[in-house]
Amino acid sequence: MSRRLPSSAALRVVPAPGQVLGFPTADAASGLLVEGAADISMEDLYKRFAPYVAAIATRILGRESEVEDVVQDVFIAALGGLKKRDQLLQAKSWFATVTVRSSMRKLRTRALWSLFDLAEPPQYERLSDPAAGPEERRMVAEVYRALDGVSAKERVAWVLRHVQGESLEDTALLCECSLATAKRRIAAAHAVVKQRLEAGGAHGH
Amino acid sequence: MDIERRLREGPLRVEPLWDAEQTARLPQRVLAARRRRALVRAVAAVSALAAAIAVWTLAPQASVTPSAPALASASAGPANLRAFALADGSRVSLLSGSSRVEVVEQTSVLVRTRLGAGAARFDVIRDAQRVFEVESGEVKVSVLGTAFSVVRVGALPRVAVERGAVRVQWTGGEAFLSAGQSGSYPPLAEPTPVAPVAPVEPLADVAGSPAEESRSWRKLAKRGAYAAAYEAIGAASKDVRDEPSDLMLAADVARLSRHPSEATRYLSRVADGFPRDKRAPLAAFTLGRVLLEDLGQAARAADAFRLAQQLAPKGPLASDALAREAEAAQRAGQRERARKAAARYLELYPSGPQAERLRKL
Repeated sequence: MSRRLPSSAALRVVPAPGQVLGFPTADAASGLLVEGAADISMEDLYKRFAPYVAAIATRILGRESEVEDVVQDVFIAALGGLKKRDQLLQAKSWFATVTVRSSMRKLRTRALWSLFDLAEPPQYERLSDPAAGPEERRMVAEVYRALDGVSAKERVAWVLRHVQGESLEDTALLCECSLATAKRRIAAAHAVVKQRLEAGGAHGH
Repeated sequence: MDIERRLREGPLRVEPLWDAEQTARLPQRVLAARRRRALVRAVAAVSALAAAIAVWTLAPQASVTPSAPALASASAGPANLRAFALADGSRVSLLSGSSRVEVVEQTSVLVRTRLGAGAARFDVIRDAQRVFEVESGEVKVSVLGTAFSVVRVGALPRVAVERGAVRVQWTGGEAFLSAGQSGSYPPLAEPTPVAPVAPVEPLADVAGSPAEESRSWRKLAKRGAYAAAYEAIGAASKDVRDEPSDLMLAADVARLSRHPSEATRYLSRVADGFPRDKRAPLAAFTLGRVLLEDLGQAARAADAFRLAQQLAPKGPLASDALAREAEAAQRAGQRERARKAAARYLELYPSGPQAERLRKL
């Protein structure tokens, strides 16, 4: 019999080092569903993984309007792609990978629209955890503005590492690149973020 | 704002922009979006089909597979040509109105088709891990990556190879054909009256002029009358020209008329004397088979299989040659060599058709 998760309102995710995001159950660390996973219905999958997918998409994209699209795309893919039992048993990593891919596509579309000045203006003020202090909230908004200036690949790698809290190895895995490439992308994005924050800090003083 | 110091404390804290209401709404949104996408795809597919039909109707010549093989002459004309692609990307072109090809099996390691009637051209995508087979009557044609045609006229399928090499198997025998070669299988043991068997011609003219052809061993060989062809060669051996096509045909004649030692002479000449010829790897491979199976000279056979690999390391016979080298070396008592060859095969083709057998070697 499958265990029920608490409602998604209780699933507010505040990542900490080593914590698995959006899946606060005993089996979260292994990434496996509970026993009898093959019997899990799509409804269960929505309840269990929609918040998880949304959390990753939010961190990568930073814009509410795009998150819902990505969640929808991921579950459309799940309807067609999550059929085999072995995939179901590793549903968590499957959702993470597909979410990263889908978010990456969204970022590229956004970049395309921005060429014609049709992209939505960024609204990053709501992003921070309400528990965060004002300085951190400003920092998060500024970080996301800086990330708008880097490539989609570099942005995704940096977010997975420094916002999602993934290890370097998992970041490389989710970005579907080598460890060295992941490090290089993170470093490239980090330089831009750092420069922007330092410039903002100097301006503020 | 010191980002370095902040990140040392842990990841940035970002609030997921998502709530329970959105989760509850999601299934309906997903289903609606799925239906929309299915509709869009259906409209696109219908449009593409309509466009294809329009192109086919208005410009039939443009739809014909380019460079249709010579065997297409057996068909009712270009307007009847039809083609389809298999899941692995290989293409099958039906060369006559009566052609019938059935896909019997299609997996990552085996594609098996059956030519029930008529003629078809198979353009096979090269994949060392997958075997592509065409069955026609009692004959089975196996390939790794090549283009060839099979015509079924009466009981005897005729195979013509454009590119690469194929193995033709029938009950009690097999033959290897390389680019430019063709033949009807199973071969007839003795000359038969010329039946209206071939409204088709081989892709490459392996014979001389028509006048010479009419009285030469080549005509007998092409009819499958290998014993008579061998006799003809014996009477005038100078008729075998020192060039790969003729040597290969003479080798077939000697081999299939049960004169394996003579066959090795021709095959060695092609493999050693024309190493850059596209038929050289096939000659070396066939030499290995004759030495191993007909003459029991396993050590020499292993060398021939090694040569086949060296002549075309990425050729369609390379994996089979490596497996056969292991087998021949084992039979010759060269255990270390057999072990190394088997290990190399398993390294290069871990799920190849011979992998299971070689693991036990």
